[in-house]
Amino acid sequence: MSQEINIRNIKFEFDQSLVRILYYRYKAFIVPSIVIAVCFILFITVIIGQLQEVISNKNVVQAQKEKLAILKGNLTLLSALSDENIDKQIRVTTTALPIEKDFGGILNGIGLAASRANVGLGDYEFQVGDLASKTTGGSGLPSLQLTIILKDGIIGTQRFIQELEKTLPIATISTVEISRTNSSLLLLFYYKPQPPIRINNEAPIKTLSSAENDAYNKYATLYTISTTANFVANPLGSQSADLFGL
Amino acid sequence: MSEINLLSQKEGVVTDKGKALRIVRLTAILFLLFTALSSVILFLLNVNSGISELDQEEKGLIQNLSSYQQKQLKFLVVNDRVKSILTLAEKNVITDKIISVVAQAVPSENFFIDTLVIENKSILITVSSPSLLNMDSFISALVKEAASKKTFKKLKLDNLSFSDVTKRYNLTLSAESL
Repeated sequence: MSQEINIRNIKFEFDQSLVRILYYRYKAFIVPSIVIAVCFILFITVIIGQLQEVISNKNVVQAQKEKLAILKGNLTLLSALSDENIDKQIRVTTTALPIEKDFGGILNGIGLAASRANVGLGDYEFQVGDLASKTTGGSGLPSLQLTIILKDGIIGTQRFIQELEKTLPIATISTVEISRTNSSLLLLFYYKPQPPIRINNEAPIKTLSSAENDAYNKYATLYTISTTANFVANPLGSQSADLFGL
Repeated sequence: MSEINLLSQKEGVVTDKGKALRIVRLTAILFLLFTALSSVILFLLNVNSGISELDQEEKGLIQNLSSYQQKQLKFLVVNDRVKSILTLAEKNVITDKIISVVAQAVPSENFFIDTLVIENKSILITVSSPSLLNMDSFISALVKEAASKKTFKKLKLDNLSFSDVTKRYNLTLSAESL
């Protein structure tokens, strides 16, 4: 029994002395080792985190620069536009494609086309149907159907169609029935209610493509001719301006 | 029982320990320097990333843009409507072209277009003439146009008859536009 106790004591003394011996022998290594360990921990916890932050900041800066470039581009574009021009563009586009059913403009346009084509205009009939309903006419836009009778054959009808293309608002021809002395045309006059527009400053403002620009210029010329000749009045008048709170 | 003197060291061992100690100390210093320097550099990089300046610039630009908001709204409306106008403007071209082709195919005299119906893409033409030569000329002009695939996709002769009452040939053609 006493022998067992001795063995335990011997072991304890041996461990303590071993630690002590190791401490005295390697005590010069302790401080540098702690420094290395602390530096390593700092590297893992702080420096890598900071490095990630630097990389993320770089991406943020890049995105921010792109955003600024868009904003600057938009600002340059808008500041270069004159109020007069943009108001004219609004008038032209809302006359060509009215915001609502424009009966006056349609009748003016038909009368003008018939007069220019030297074609006698017979009966005409608006197929309005339910005033609240919308006929899309295959283009996704609501339209107003109008059947007109022309007192002329193919040549007169052709002249009328060519002249109708030069009047505002825009009409498309859905059905044509030409006989020797009379023609019946089913016309679709489109309008486009203005949907609410959300301004997104982060998106670049797209300018018109060359085809769109050509189309606009064509209708701007027609609009100028029409207004100069006093045939077509702006169907919206001050209403187009009211749309934008002016 | 042999004695183990842990404190006794040979000359070579001392040298090795000294070398190891020098390496460890050097490593510790290098680690320390690296950690300190990289911390300072990364901190400076983060501080001087320029995000705040860019944010300020963005705020300024947005403020400037807000004074053009009405103009921007009008510009977007114009763009939106011009796109729709362009789509509609392209629709009438084919109708005008069909009528023009049929009108041009008409021989100079004694030829009558009784009906021309254009509905969507389907075309129905009824003509009459006392001369078969005129009919041939009209059909040939339309066949030539259909062959060029500029206006018609299909051209079909539906009927050719002679009326004793009017003393005229009647021709009915149907076609499909492009």
